[in-house]
Amino acid sequence: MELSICKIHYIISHIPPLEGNDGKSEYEMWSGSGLPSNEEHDKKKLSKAQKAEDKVWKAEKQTNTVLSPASIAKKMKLKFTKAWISFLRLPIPVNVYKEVLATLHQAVIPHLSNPIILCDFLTKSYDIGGVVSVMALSSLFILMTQHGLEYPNFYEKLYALLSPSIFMAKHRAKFFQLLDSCLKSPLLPAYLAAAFAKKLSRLSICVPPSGELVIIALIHNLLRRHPSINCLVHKEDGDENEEDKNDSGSEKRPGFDHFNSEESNPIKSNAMRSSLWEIDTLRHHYCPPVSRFVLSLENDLTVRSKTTEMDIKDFSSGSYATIFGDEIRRRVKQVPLAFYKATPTSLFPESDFCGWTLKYEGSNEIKEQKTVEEDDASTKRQRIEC
Amino acid sequence: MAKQSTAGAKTKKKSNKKHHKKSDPDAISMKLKSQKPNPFETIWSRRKFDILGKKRKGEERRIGRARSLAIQKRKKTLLKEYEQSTKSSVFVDKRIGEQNDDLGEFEKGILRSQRERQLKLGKKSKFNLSDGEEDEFDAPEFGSLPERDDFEDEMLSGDDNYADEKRSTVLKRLNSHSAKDPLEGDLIEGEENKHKSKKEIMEEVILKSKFFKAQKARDKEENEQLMDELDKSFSSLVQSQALLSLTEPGKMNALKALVNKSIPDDHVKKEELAVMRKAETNNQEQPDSYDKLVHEMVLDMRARPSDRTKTPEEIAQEERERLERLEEERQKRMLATDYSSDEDGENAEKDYAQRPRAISGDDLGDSFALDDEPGKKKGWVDEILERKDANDSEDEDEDDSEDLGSAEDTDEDEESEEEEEDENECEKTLSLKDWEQSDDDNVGTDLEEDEETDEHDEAIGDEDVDKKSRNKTNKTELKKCVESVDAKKPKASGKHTSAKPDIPFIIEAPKNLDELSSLLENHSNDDVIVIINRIRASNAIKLAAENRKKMQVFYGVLLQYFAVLANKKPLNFELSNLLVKPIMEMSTEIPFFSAICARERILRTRVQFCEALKNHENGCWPTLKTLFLLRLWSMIFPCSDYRHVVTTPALLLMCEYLMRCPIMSGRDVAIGSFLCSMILMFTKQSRKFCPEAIMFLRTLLMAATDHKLASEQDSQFYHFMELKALRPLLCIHDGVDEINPLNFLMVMEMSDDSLFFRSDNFRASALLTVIETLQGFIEIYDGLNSFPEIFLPIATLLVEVSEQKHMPKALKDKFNNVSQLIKKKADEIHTLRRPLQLRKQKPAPIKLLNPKFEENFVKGRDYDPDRERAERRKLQKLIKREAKGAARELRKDNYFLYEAKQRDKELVEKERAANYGRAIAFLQEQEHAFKSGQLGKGSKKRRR
Repeated sequence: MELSICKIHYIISHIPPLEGNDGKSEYEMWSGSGLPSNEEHDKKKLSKAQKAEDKVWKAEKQTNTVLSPASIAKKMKLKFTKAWISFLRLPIPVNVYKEVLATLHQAVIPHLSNPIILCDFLTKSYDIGGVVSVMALSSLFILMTQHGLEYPNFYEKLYALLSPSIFMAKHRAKFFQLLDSCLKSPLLPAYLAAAFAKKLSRLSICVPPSGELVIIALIHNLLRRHPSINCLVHKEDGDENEEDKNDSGSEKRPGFDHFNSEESNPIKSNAMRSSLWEIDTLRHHYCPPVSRFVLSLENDLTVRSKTTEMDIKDFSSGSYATIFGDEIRRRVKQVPLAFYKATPTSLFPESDFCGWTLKYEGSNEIKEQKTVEEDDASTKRQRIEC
Repeated sequence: MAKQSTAGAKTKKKSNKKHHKKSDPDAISMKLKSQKPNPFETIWSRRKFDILGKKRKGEERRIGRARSLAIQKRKKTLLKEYEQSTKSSVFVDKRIGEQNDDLGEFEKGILRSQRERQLKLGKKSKFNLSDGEEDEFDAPEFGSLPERDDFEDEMLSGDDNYADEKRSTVLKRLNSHSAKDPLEGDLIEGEENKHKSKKEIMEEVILKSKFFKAQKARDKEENEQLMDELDKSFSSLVQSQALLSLTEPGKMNALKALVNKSIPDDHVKKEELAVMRKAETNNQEQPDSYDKLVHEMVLDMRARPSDRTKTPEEIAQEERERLERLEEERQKRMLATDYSSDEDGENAEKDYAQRPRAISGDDLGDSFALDDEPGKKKGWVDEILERKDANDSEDEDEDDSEDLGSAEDTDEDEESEEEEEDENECEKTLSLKDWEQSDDDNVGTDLEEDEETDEHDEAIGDEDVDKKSRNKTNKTELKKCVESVDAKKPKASGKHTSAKPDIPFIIEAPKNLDELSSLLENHSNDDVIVIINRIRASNAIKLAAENRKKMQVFYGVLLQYFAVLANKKPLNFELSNLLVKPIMEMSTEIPFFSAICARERILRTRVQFCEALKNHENGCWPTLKTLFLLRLWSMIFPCSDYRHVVTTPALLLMCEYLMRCPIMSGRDVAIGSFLCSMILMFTKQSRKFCPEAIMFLRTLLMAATDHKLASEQDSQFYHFMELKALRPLLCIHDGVDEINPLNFLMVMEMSDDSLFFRSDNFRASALLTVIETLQGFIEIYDGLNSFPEIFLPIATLLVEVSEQKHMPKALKDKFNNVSQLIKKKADEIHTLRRPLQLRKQKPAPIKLLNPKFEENFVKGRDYDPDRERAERRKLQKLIKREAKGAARELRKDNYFLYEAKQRDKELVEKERAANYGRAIAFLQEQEHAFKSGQLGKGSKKRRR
């Protein structure tokens, strides 16, 4: 069963795209009309014999070409659509499913007669969550923007997709670009923009450097597009106190983060009352591009008029490899060296590596015994290392 | 003059009006009248009394005069226009000189007569008796001239006489030409006399110039003699060694060369006259080089007392200052506040100093400078130590010192070589790869490089102390050399205890790993260090320039040795530890090279790691070798720098390990947590935020819990766990009696499926390391703004873990302590931190309004600081003034015209009145006559 589905997928995905010129429509004739017959027959009887049959079809069609090219194209579109719909109804194995999702928006949707019929399939896969929904997003986005599909809880779903794993996922570049364009509209309510910004910034404390760069760029764009969420980065002391009084006046803790990152509904996440401390934290990030980027973000926000939106494309495809490559490619201009009052003699001084012993007992020679009491470890750490 | 002319104009006007009947005397009387000074013009100041020191406005302007001048001008222009306005034709005055106001009547006359004469002297009129009119008509160019001349004939009455006189003189001359021949002869004679005198003068001049030339030549000779004397005395001075103490040896050589060159030249000059010219030119050149030398000597420092030896206190003080300075620099680098150019132009000097010396294939190694820059000073203590070492290594210094002296001169060459650095860098990295390849497997791939370096050595032909290595040209001999070294070793190992004396004091630096390992074989750890130190001492970079290359090769080899050592199965950890010091010290000598080595290795490690990840091999976690090297680099290079060529990639690599390696076994857990503690070391000083390490620790803690217990809030992290294929590896199932710190080296030696990793003892100790590392991170990051967000989930997790069933008591306490610590700090930050505020924009300064005082204020001067504005204002003022002036002029013009019209009107009126009166009188007379009965005039006449 799975095998046959794979094969169907192979065939169906290798149909050349419809084009206007007659020479080709001739050729597509057989593929467009041949396949539905496959479906109609028996789904399990798919093999190379089928392909041979297709060729027969082709020969037949070549003999009697009487139909006008426009009607042929229309017909073929219909058949093509039918073929895909019936294919998608099958129980598709995961790897094929992912492949389908990855190619759907480029290879299939433009050639369907009525792309909206895909929405069931796409919404279902979007609801699955995880990588699959990330991949479904691109097709869904096309349906929504070009074919007028209305998706009720789109942003909630999108919000739920934001998780640390997405920054390691394979198709993250596309996803981030889509995310950016989804959040492009200035008509989005402030709470939504704030929730996305805060969520992203919360994620920034647990993602690799490439992800941080994307997050900063996304947040930068959000802040630029929605002046209403400026309170995330700039809050006067006065109004903040007011809020405190409003909110039950319980704890006098201005630094408390009201944002609830576990909340899946952006309305209830309370992002508007928070502040982007995480981004501020990134200024101390170990990776120089990240910390520099944060600094530039701060600069850009203060002189808003002079800057433009960031292009997410520049950052979305980043990874450890790109960052590492950039660092390695830098020309070595000067090499400062560490200095010590007394040159250290051992590789792993125990005082620095508490919780470890590094004595070696394998060989016969007796090595010096180095152990460290756990109790005084903390006091030793207090000492300033030079 | 002007007045005269105006007077003329007046007369003309009047003559126009009253026809041409005005007689000359009348005109003359008019002139005289007008020449009488106008009292309003002569007296222009209205003041009655002179008041001392009082200045009055408008005093310098002679208003009356200016007015009369203006009126005259109007009369000349405006009035004329007015008069002409009613006329249909224009009267153009083309008389000679009439337009020119400067000419008086007399000059005009002269001009006119000249013209006349010219016409008469023309070809046609040559034989014409002057008839006056004919001639003038002949000249077409001056068509209307005669009439005009005629017009003023009366006034130019004298002219004719004058012209006649002239004419007569010309005629006279013509006559005399034919008549007086003898006189002419006399004249010619006189002229000849004059010629002769000129020749004499010329001769005299020539003589004089010859004399001067001779004098010059004599002077020159004298000068040369003087110079020769000076040269001789100078050469004697040079040879007398008196200068030697004052100048540097290099310069002294140049001096000597100079003197030697000049002396033979002198000889030649004396012998041959023909060559004299050349010698002269030589002499002319020589002063140039001499001058150069003199200039250099001027620039030289005077001989001065050498620095006295420093007291120990001073040495200590200097050392402390050095350390302080270094620390300051480190802080600066850590902040890297100027993010435009952190590396580019920061301190070019230091940059320059620390650049590696370029090594190209045809570099003879003589372009190296001494490392005299203060930045690289090693501190006095080290230097003294080294000096001792150097003394040990016999007397090769003497040879070298000269080399070094000359090396200093080639400092400038080095700058030009910087440009070639790129290529050289490439070369270097290439050669790096050579030795990098043969790392674990000791293949002799380094052969080519060896040979190359050998050739290099030969080309230099340097005096190697090690006699054995001198003649080696191919590998066989090289091996022989190694064997000979080996041959020495058995002796050493025979005694074993007193091995030290048998280690040769001077050891040639090994060029590949084979050599080194064979050299170090069978030695005890201490001896190995001794050997390495001796290699370093005998090949110190300061001793010879080409040693730098040797040391670089040796550094690479040593690093390789260090790496191989880490991978050896019976691990010699103590030796690794001992090797740290020499490697670090060598890195300070060749920082650039060591950085390049490190980068190369990091890059290679990463490539290997990526491939391992792709192949889903088990061993994508770093090996002990990688760990050791990473640690070594973190010790050699400063980890706190904002961006460093080595430590930044190293840290990135470590974080990537943590992020991307799947945790499959207990061993992976151990390595991962060890990496975390290494990262802790990395980031301790600069307090840089490293999310990967925190996340890794968090996942490990999660691995210590049961899945079921995990609360809802951690759901997102299960993605991570999916990613890392994490199982509850650290979940403790049974009671643990005691918790020991994990022995990392032992862990590394064990295989993945060792039973030890399944034991609860391991789990407990792994948790212990995790919690210790976590505590370290907590203390580092307590300044971060989002501390609660980072650590609070971990705190809850900690509590969860500590509440597990079989958790040992000590660990439980520890966990609770740490979570308490987190909560306390988070609370602190909650109360302390404020919502973010954007950086305030610079407030615009309020305009200062307090007066500004000028020293030496001058009234009326424009003190506007904005020059442009002042300039503009000036121009506007000018425009206004001009507009006013123009309006005034127009007004005056109008007034003047009105007056003129009025005058005309008056005249007409008067005339009319007169006519009227006459008519009335006539009528009255008629009436009277009628009444009286007398009719007509006749009766009147008759009556009279």
